[in-house]
Parts: sequence; structure tokens; C-alpha cells
Amino acid sequence: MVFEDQTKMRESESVLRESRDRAEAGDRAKSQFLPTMSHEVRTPLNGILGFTNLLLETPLSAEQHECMETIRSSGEALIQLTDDILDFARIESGNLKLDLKPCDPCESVEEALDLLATNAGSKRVELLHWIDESLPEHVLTDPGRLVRC
Amino acid sequence: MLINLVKNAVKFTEVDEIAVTLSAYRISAATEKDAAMWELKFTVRDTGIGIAKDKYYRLFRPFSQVEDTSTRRYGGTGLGLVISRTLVELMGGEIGLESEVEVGSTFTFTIKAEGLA
Repeated sequence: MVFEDQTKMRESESVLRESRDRAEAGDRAKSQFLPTMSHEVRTPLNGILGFTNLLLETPLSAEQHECMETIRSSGEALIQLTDDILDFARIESGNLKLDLKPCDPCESVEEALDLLATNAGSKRVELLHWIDESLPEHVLTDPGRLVRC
Repeated sequence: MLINLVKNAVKFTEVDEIAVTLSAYRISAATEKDAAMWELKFTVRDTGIGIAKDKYYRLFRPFSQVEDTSTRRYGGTGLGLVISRTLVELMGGEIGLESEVEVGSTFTFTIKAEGLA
């Protein structure tokens, strides 16, 4: 009969198990942290932007108007940042999914350019576009993602 | 994707123009069972500051910008193109770049999609 002292092996197994559990918990905390923070930041930001837009509709001096516009564009940049962080967290966890719908690709191009027209105009940059006429009227894709992101 | 690429183009272009093109190529015809498959190709060409070839790889890396932090003139997390590349790949396409410093950049991406009549 052969006896083997397994104490050491059992001990190192439990140390390994513990460190694996800790690493996994850390990973979960990290991947939860970004989306949670981004979400929490968005709520007050939407409040700031909403009231900025309301104030912009009231009579303001030119100087006040300019200040409000700066608040608005800074707020929009922050919203974009939180969107990007949320998407990046989704990519890391393999959860970025498409929402397929019928989409008119010409409309997508025009929508994107319309949304940036003011931006480009203020820099004296002209936005031109050319669209192939043989294009199908509609395709099945994620129109939101095609335009935005 | 489009907004991200055009916004980048606007950001790095001082004056002049940005041209967006969309072309289509039918990969397979419609059959009784399946709809026709199309490849759509979008390009965004700017006349901005351009990017050196040996820095292309930085563009698609998270939290990275072409210029080092110490010399950066432009803000941004550098997440935009990482997200765009992932989305393009999910849509069955590819994203690419051709650029020349001080001349401009052309970003191209393709997507594959079923055509609906």
C-alpha cells in the first residue's frame, strides 16, 4: 500500500482557485463599472442639455447666446463620449449587436451630411456627395449604426 | 459610421471640401429562396492634414491617436474608429484608409446587405 501526502497539492490548488476567482471578480467589476458610470453620467447630462436648449429659445444677448452654444456643444461631446464608452464596453464583452431593418442607403448618406452641415459650414468646409444610381432602394442593415457611430 | 468618419474629416480639414461617395455592387442575384446580396462601398475623402503610413495602425487602437499625447492638437478618446471597425466587420465588410501627409485622407468601408426591392 502506498500513501501520498497530498497536503501541499491541495493547498496550491486552493490558492490557484482563489486567485482565479479574484481575477474573475475583478474582470466583472471592470466590465460593469464602465457601462454603469456612463449611464449615471448621462442622466444629469441630459438634464443640462435639455435646459440649455430651453434657455436657448428665450431672449438672450449675443454674448449669452454664444455661452449657451458652448455649453450645448460641450454637453453633446460628453454624450458622444459616454456613447462611445458604452459601445466599447459592449465590444469588449462581445455584446455589440446589430439591429437589422430595411434602410434606404441614400437617405443614410444624406442624413449624416445634414447632421454635420452646420459643423462643416462654420469651418468653411464644403460637403459634397455622389451616389451610384444602380443602388437598390432598400437594403437590410442597421440604419442607426450606419449613420451615427 | 458615416457621421464618425465625416466628423473626423471635418475635424482635420481646415478649408476646402469633403466628398462622400456611395457605390453598389451586386454580389448575387435574387433566387426563389434568397434575396439579392449587395456590397455597398462608402468613401469619405478629405483634404486635411493626412496621416503617415507608419501611423495607420494607431487609428484602430482604442484610446490611441495619431499624434502622441504631448504633441496633440486635437481632442478625442480614439474610440470612434475602433467602434466603426467592429460595426463594419459585423456588417460583413472591411474598413480601410489611404492617406498622404498634408494632402488628405480617404476612408473606405464596405458592408454586405440583402437588397429589398
